[in-house]
Amino acid sequence: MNLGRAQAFMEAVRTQNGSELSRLTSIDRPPGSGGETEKSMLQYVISDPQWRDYFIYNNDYYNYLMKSDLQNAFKSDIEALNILARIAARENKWILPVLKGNAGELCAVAIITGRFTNSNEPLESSARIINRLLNLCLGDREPTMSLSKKYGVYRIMNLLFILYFRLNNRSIARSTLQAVTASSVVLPPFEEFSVSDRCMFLYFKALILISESHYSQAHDALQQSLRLCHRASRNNIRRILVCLVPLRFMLYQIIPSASLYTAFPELEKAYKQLFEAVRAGNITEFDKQIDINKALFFKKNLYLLMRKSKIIVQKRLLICTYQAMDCPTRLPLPAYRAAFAVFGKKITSDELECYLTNLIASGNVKGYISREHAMLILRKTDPFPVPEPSTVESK
Amino acid sequence: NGPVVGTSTEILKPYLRLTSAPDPHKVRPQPVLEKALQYILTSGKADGNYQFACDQLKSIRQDLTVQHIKNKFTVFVYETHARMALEAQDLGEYNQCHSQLKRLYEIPELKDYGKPLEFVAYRILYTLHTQTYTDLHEILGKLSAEEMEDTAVSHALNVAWTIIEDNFVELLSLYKDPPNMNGCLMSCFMYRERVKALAKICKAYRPYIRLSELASMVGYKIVQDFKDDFGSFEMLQDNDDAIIEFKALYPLVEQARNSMRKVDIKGQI
Repeated sequence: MNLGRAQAFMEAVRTQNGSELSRLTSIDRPPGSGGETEKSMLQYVISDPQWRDYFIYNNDYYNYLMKSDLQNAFKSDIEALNILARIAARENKWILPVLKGNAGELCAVAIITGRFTNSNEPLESSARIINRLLNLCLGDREPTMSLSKKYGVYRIMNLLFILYFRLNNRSIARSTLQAVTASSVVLPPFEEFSVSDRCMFLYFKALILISESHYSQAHDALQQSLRLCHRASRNNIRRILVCLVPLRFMLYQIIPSASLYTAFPELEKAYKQLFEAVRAGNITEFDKQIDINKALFFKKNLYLLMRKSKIIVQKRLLICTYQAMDCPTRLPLPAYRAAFAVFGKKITSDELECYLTNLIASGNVKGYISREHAMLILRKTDPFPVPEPSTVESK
Repeated sequence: NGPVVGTSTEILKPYLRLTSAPDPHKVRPQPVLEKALQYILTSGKADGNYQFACDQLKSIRQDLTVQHIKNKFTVFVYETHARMALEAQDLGEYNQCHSQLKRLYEIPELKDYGKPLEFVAYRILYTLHTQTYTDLHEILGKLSAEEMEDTAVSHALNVAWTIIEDNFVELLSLYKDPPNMNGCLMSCFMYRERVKALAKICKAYRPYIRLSELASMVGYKIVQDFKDDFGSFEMLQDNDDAIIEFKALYPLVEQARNSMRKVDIKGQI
């Protein structure tokens, strides 16, 4: 008989102690808390049937976990959360730690179970119940904001993002984000949410923006996320950098220094040789590097971004040519064409003019092409400025 | 409600949107539908008459739907209609057929029978037309190595890259001899790309150019075709040797670009 635990549970409920209740229902509950609970006696300790059912399912979840029976643990956890959702509908902000804690654990169990059974089903059913929790928080009718469950919105939404991205379904993630931001629901100010909630939210928001090709906004969101990210969360910093590095390159024409790769050797494979090619103006190597890492870039929705950045390498090659010829204001087109040949790329004069047209039209080169003389006429001062990031995206 | 079992033997049947439960006497079973499709394809009545073909095909599709027939024949019908719709530039109908095909290809036997790769290529090109990059990213994220090797798909991918990189010269080259009906979809956005290229040309070149040479730069072998496609530009409706000043042309092109509205995803179910 383990009524002591039931009593502690009920005490937390009675005093509306969310963090204590969260601890008691989590995997980190005090040791010796397992074991069967005499159900017939339970009704005397926990009179409310909903709380009682939740307690039982949560207990089952814990016991199965201790026996390493993942699938049954997961099933019980889903049941527990279904009931918790119903309970939470009539409770206010105090219940948030329980919601967040339980939902977070459900996610973790779902991911592991899914991997173990090689199926998406746990992720999908978790997403359904957590979506319900999100709507619960969003639709909270508590008039006093400081008591409102709306303070749970970002954490729960982040859990959904984690699941949807694992399911490789960015479009549902996108619609979830849209539904929340477009709704007329008034949320507490963003700054009042925890640092970790904000950091993760901004990260996922940026990933969604990248899939929409809204690169400038994505960059800003990622920057903010990085600033909020805890210094010790190395994996999270790495995840942010994987996307931030190419964005900074495309928008600001800045390449990372060698210290990035010493700090994050995982980024070396994708980026080191690529950016070395950029520095040298080596357009063939750049193309090759993008192709080598094609699968990774496709997966992270970075491929289009990399292709769009090719113009910067062409610019770099032009600058190298310009400097090699002692900075002339009139640069013969064949000279630029020869530069491509240096790196093994044979192009027609039409293609060459096409690249130059793009460079000039995008503001990367200040000058014009004279077809008559087969020359590029350049402005004397600062002929190769870096255009405003906001102009990079516009088509 | 279970599937209807049709009894009609009509080869030709006009399309009528269903407002109530279908009448089995008016619905045709598969053998009749096969004859109907054969008639459309071989009788010659559909030649140059897309309205007729579309109408009959929609009717066949409807009969298949109410009878819950989802087999090789269904795939063939939808693929046929999709291709005809592309040829006729009926994107609304093409989109409907394509959405259905996506679902049908999920059935393993049908995927092997139909031409899913041909339609992956169309899907890619369609996103370029509507400029919905979320869809393009999604397709890329799910492309298998086998799909990427396919001729039609890799052609469509190359078109995508040229548009992302603004490589207009390469785009024209890919437009010359596209596989399957990739060209039909490219036709949907070629004008938009030409106008974009023209705007950039006006910014990058100085001081002027002969009209015929400009036409060639925008990818026209026949100058008159250029004048026709760009009929709203009075400045370009001149003789072939006329001198066009880039600075003067630029504002007209920019205006045209601004007035090009974004394409809606048409006709999706």
